[in-house]
Amino acid sequence: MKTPSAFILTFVATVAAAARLVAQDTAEPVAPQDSSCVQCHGESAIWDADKRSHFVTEADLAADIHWQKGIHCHDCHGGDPTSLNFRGAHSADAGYRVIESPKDIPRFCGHCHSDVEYMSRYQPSPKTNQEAEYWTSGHGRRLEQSPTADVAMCTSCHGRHGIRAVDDLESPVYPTNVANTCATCHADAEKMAGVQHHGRPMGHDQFEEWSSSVHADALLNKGDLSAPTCNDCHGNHGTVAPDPAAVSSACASCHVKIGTLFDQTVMKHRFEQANLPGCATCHGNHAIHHPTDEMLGMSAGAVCSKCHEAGQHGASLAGAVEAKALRVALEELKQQIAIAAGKLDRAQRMGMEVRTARFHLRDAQDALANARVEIHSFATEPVKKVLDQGLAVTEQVNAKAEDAFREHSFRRIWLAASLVPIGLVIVLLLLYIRTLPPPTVEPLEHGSRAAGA
Amino acid sequence: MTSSGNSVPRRKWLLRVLCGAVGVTAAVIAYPVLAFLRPRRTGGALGVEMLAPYRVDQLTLDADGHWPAPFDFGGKPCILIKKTDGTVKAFNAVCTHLDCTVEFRAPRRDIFCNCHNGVFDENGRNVSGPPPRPLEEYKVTLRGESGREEIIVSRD
Amino acid sequence: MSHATEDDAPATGRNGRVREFFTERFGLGTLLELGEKKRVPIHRTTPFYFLGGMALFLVVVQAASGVMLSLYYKPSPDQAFESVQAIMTEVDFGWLLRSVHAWGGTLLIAVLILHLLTTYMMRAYRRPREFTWVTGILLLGLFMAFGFSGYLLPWNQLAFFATRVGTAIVGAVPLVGDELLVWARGGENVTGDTLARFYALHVAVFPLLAIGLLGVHLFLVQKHGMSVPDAATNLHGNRVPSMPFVPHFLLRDAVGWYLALAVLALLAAVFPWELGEKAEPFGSAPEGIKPEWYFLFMFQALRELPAHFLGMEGEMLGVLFFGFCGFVVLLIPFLDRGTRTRRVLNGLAVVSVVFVIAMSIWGFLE
Repeated sequence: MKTPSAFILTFVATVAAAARLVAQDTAEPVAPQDSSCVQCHGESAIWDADKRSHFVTEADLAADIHWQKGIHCHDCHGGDPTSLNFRGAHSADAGYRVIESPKDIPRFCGHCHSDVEYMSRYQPSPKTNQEAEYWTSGHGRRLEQSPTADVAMCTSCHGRHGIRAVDDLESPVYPTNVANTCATCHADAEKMAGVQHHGRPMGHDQFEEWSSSVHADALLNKGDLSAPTCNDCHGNHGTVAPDPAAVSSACASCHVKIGTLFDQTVMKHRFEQANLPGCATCHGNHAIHHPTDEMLGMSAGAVCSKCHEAGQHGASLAGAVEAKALRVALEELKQQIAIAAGKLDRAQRMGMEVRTARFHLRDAQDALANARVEIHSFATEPVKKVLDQGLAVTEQVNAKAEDAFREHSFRRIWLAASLVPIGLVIVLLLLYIRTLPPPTVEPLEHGSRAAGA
Repeated sequence: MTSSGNSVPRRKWLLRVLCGAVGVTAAVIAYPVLAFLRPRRTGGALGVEMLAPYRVDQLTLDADGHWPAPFDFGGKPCILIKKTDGTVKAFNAVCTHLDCTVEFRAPRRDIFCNCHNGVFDENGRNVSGPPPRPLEEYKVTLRGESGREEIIVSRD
Repeated sequence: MSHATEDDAPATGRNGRVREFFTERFGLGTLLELGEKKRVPIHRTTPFYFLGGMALFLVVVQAASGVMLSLYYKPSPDQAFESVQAIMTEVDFGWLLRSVHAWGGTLLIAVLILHLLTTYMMRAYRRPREFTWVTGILLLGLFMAFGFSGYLLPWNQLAFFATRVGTAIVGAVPLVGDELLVWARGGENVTGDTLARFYALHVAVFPLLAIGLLGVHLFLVQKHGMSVPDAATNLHGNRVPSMPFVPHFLLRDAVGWYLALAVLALLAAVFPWELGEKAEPFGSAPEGIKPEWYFLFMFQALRELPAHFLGMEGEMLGVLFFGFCGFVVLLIPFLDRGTRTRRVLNGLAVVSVVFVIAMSIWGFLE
């Protein structure tokens, strides 16, 4: 015993363990819950502040996916679960795997998780490249260099003993929780102080920015699990900030059509030359908000003017002109759609048939959406083609609305005109009545008793 | 006013004109009534059952390579597809992800959403991309001579 | 003369032969005699007689337009609104029929109220015409029930919530209120069962009741003839000038009908009836829910009553009070016993009319 506390430790543990064992029928095999590991590591009182991490609760184990699959303490940590002796339990002969520093952990987990044959016992076609990927990541490379670095590794994100499956809602790596997990470090100013990325400070505002994004809104508020969170763009284990040239590929993994259009443009080439981050140049990387039509064109809030105004990065004047023209064309379709919709509303309020026209107007709205996609070809022709389709639709819808108004007026006029024959009949009746012989004065045959009372 | 000399023929004439005017008003009333009673052709207003604007033999790619466009079924766009085995199916063409209009890709036998690359199979099941649910399916009844049947789409 | 002969037939021979054909087979003799003999007294307030005929004309218009609408209307919550929409937008002249039926209902009630007020003023309910009055009041109630039940049928927001509020008032009746409410609604809440119930009432039960009551009412009017107001008897004694029903009064009646038709056409043309928005039972009630104008005074009065009064629920008192008033109106012929009672009744009538008008205006402006 090296220290008095270690001695006390062993003594107390041994007595406690012995007491438990004596209470049992020692002929039975030792059940996991009663293995010697838990005898010590499950006793809260033993572990003070600096060794608190060694305390493992039953609640932790109950929630742990490994424990649920029958993988127990010694399966990961090695050692002898039947030994009540500290040295015996933790002996290297018994296969105890020492974790001296955080750097040991990826290999520790990878001992099983990189073993295809072993993992196949639990899943067909398992992924077993997590550890390999990890070492290529920003976190991994730092850890490689300094084994005790305070940097993310397996247990930082997945937890230590209460490790839940990824599809468990409470897992720190469930899609809706991922950003929060990353933010525990990446939104912490102290932790991020001094962290550099490509020669510049990494900063700690990414979580805040992402939280304001349309993707965060889709994921957290609308429950769309396909919306990207940190790992969808940065990777799971091989986490890196993508190279500027790779950004548009990341976005294109979902926004395929836009990516394809953009790939064929001169813009992409120029962005690569200038080391600009593709889509993120205009849309941002984390604080990606719902794009607005104001982004297009050469006005103050437009993204085009950032380069095309001053001719930066080879941006041409012709491009500026084109940007303006595109914006004008877009606004025109928007306006026409609004006008057409307004007319339909008016007609509907009058009680006219507008449903087919409204359905038709959808096509114009679709055209508008398509035009906004086509803009990423940064060429006037394809965009104008789509917009013209939309304008054709609004023209037809306007015509239908005008038809409805005409029909409405016609109805009113027709109805008011029907008053003419009615009025004529009334006049004729009155005239005819006047030609009748005057009434005679005759005592009433019946009903004269009405004069009573 | 009523000198019996010319009042009676005047009366008769007035009566005739009066009857004529009454007849006109009766016609003015009868015309809308009869037009109202005549059954109408469209029944798709309710979105409960309607005759599709395409026949089975018209469900092919046209010269430009386009599949017949979605039609209005009770306010929602409805697409008709033909499966590999020739069965005709009808779906609500609104993508279950973010409400874009889907299209049928005949050569690939799938239904595709342009917005975020959602893919549904020819049974309407969401097989790839963001869509969280299959497409809403409508019931299809075929009627008429084989090969040129009319397609009746109904809610159930 | 007990049966019509050639002498009584008009000049043209063909008409006479037709008449005899039907008379011989259907025994129309007495009817024709009645028609020919019936006379209508002439006095200052004779024009008021037209109101009854106009009301009857409007009832026929409502019945005809209602039957036509029922060919396209579908009484189920998921189809009612859409079928009305289809009528208004797809069926030829459906918009016209719908507006005519909706405005016709309002016009009918208006005419009936005028008919009530004028018969009251002319004291046409005096012996032996008490039950003409009684059936008349019952008919007014019936047609207001027609209006209430019909109002729900388009199943739009306004209709749904107005019905919800209206049927809730029934629940304020003491003792049987809760049971009545469930009966009226066909359940605890306004649902498809309410719609079905109201539809059955509107197209089957009420029309049969109307035919029965109207039959009695019109029979009594024929039997007793037109009553003569005091003013005329005071002037002419027993020899009140009168005109034959056919053709003098009938032609004037026809003017009344055509006038009603003209007003109806004008209203339908200039103020087409709105479709509204489909009812959302689980949403919140839209602002400004009001019943039809002829219920406004009751609605507003009940709203303004204090929650509790003399230890009883204010709403219950209000409902009971209106019920009592209705009962009094029903019994007016038996209550009017002389000049004194007449003065009391007149005073009450003036107060009631002012109250109803004031409350209606107030309710409309709210």
